[in-house]
Amino acid sequence: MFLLIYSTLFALTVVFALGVLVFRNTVKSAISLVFTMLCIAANYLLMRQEFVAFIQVIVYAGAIMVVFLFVIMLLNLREPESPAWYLRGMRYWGGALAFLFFFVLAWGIQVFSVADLTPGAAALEELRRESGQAEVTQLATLMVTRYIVPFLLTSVLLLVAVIGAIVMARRKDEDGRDITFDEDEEGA
Amino acid sequence: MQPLFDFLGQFTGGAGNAFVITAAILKIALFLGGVLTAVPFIIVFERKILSWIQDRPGPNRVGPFGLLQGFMDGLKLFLKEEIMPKGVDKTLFLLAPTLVVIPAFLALCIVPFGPIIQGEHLDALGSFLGLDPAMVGSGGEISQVALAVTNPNIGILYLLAITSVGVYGITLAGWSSNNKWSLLGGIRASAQMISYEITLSLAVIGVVLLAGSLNLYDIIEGQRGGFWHWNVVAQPVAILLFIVAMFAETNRLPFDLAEAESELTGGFHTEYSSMRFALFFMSEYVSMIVISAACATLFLGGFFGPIPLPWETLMEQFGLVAILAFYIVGPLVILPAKVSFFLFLFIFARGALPRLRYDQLMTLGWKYMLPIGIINLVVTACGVAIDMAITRDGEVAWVTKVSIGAVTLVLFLGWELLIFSRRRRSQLSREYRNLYRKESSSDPALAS
Repeated sequence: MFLLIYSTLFALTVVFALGVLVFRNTVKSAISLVFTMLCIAANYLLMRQEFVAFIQVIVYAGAIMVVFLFVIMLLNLREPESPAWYLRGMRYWGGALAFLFFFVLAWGIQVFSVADLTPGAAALEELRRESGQAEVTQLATLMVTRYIVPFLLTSVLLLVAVIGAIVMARRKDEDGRDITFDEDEEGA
Repeated sequence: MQPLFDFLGQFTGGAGNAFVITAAILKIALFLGGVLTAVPFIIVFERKILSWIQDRPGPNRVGPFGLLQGFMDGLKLFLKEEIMPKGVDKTLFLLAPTLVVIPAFLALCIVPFGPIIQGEHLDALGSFLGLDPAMVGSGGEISQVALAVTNPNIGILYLLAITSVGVYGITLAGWSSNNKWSLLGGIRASAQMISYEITLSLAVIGVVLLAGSLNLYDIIEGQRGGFWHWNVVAQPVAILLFIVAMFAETNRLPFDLAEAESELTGGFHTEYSSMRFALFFMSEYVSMIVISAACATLFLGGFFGPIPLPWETLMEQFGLVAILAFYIVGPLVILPAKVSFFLFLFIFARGALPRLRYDQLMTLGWKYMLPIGIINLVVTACGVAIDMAITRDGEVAWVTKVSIGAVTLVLFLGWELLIFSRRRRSQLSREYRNLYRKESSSDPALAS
C-alpha cells in the first residue's frame, strides 16, 4: 500500500517536472512547477517532516510561484516561443547533456553519502534521539544555536534585497529628487 | 456496535482500523454535509440582510420567508447550459474551478469543531455504543478521538498553506478566459491575496507565540476558562488585522476587486456559467466559513463557551447525558454561533462599505497593516519572553496576556492618532502651499 503511494507520488513529481520543460505555453509550465512543488511537499510529508512540507507549500507554491505567474500574466506571453532560435540538433545535444548530468549527480550522491552533505539532518536526528521534543522546537533550537550565523546572514541578505528593490522602484522627478507618494493626495 | 466493527475489521486488518476509518468517514460526511447544507441558507440570509440594509423586502417567494431561494438558485445553475467562449485555453479553463474548490474544502478538514474525547469520557461513550474497551477506551488501542477531521501538529501552518494555494484557481480563471476584464480580475486577485497573506500570517504568529504550539487543539486549550482567557484579550490588534485580512483573502467587499461588478463585469468568473460558476460561488462561501471558524478558533476560544459551566458537577449528577451534552454543545451551538457572528460581519460590511480603489488597497495592506502587524508581533514576543524568563513554566500567565493586550492596544491607538494628526497637518500645509502658488503665479487666470 505504502509502496503504491510512494511510487505514484514519485512518478507524479517527475511527470510534473517534465511538464515544466515540455509545455511551450509559459503559464502551463508555471502551473506544472506549482504542482511539482506540491508533490515535493507531499514527499516531505511521507518522510514525516510536516513542518518542512507546509513551509515548502507556503513559500514556494504559495508565494514565489504566484509572483512568477503574476509576472508571466503581466507580460502576457500568450504566443508560444517561436522555434526560430533553436540550434540545429539542439534537442539531441541537450538530451545527451541532461543524461550526463544525471549520471554525474547519481555518482556524486553515491560517493558522498547524503548524511555528509546535510549536517543539519544529522544534527536534527541527534537532537531527536536526545529529547522527545516536537519537530518545530527542534528546528528552532538548531536554528538559533548551531546555525545562528547563517540564519542571521540570510536575514541580512533578504533585507539587502528588499532595500535594493525599493531603491530600484523609486520614482524621481525631472530634477532627480524623490517623488514621495502622499496618501493625502488620494481623492484630492 | 462491536460486531459491526469486527465484521468490517476482516477487510481492513483489524476492528480498530475499521473503527478509525468509520469514524473518519462519519466526521467528514457530517461536517462536509453540514457546511454544504448551510451554504444555500447563508446566501439567502445574505440577501435578506442586504435587503434589510437597503430597505426592501428581498427574496420572499420560494418557501417560507424565501428560505428555499438558495436551493432553487443552485438547481437553476445545475440545469443551465455550459458555455465555453471561443479562444479560451481549454485545459486551464476547466482546471481553474477545481483549483478553487479543492483548497476551500481541504481547509475545512482541520477545523476543530469539538473537543478531543479521551479518558473516562471515552470509556463512558464507548460502553454506551457497545464497543470493546480493549479497542476504544482510555487503556485501549484507540485512546482518543478528536472531533476534527484531522488534527495535524502543524495545524495552523496547514491552514495558511492551503489558503495561499487557493489563489491559483482565481488567477488562472482570469487568465484562461481570454477576456481582458477577467485577466485584470485575475491579476488583481493574485496581487491582493499575496499582500494580505503576510498580514494574516503576522496576526496568527502572535497567537502561536502565546500558545507555544502550532496545533489548533493546543491553541484552544490555552483559552480554556471563560471569555477573559480568550486570545482576543491578549491580541486585540491581531484580531483586527486578521478580520481585515480575512475579508481580503476571501475576496469579499470591500476588497472584491477581483470581481468588481461595476468595473470588470464580474472579473475572473465573467466567462463561467452553469456548474462551473456555481463552484466558484460555493467555494467563496465555504472559504468564508473556514476562515470564520479559524478566527473563532484562534481568537475567540473555538468550541469553548464564554462562561465556563460546571461540567464536572453536572457529569457527576447526570452521568452519560451530561457527557453527551458536553460533546454536542461545542460543535452544534457554540462554534456555529461564533461562525455566524463573523458571517454576519462579512455580509454587513458588504452592505455598509464601498469598494476600495486598487492603490488604496495596496496602501492599506503594505503601509498600515504590515507595520502594525510587525509591532504587535514584537510586543507579543517581548511579553512572552519576559514571562518565560520569570516563571519558567512554559505557560504564559494571564497577567502577561492582559498586559500584552493593553500595550499593543495603546500603541495601536497612538499610531492611529499620530497618522490622523499628521494627515491633518499635511492637509493644512498643502492648502497654504496652493494659496502661495496662486498668489505668486504670473498667469492671470490662476492669479485670480
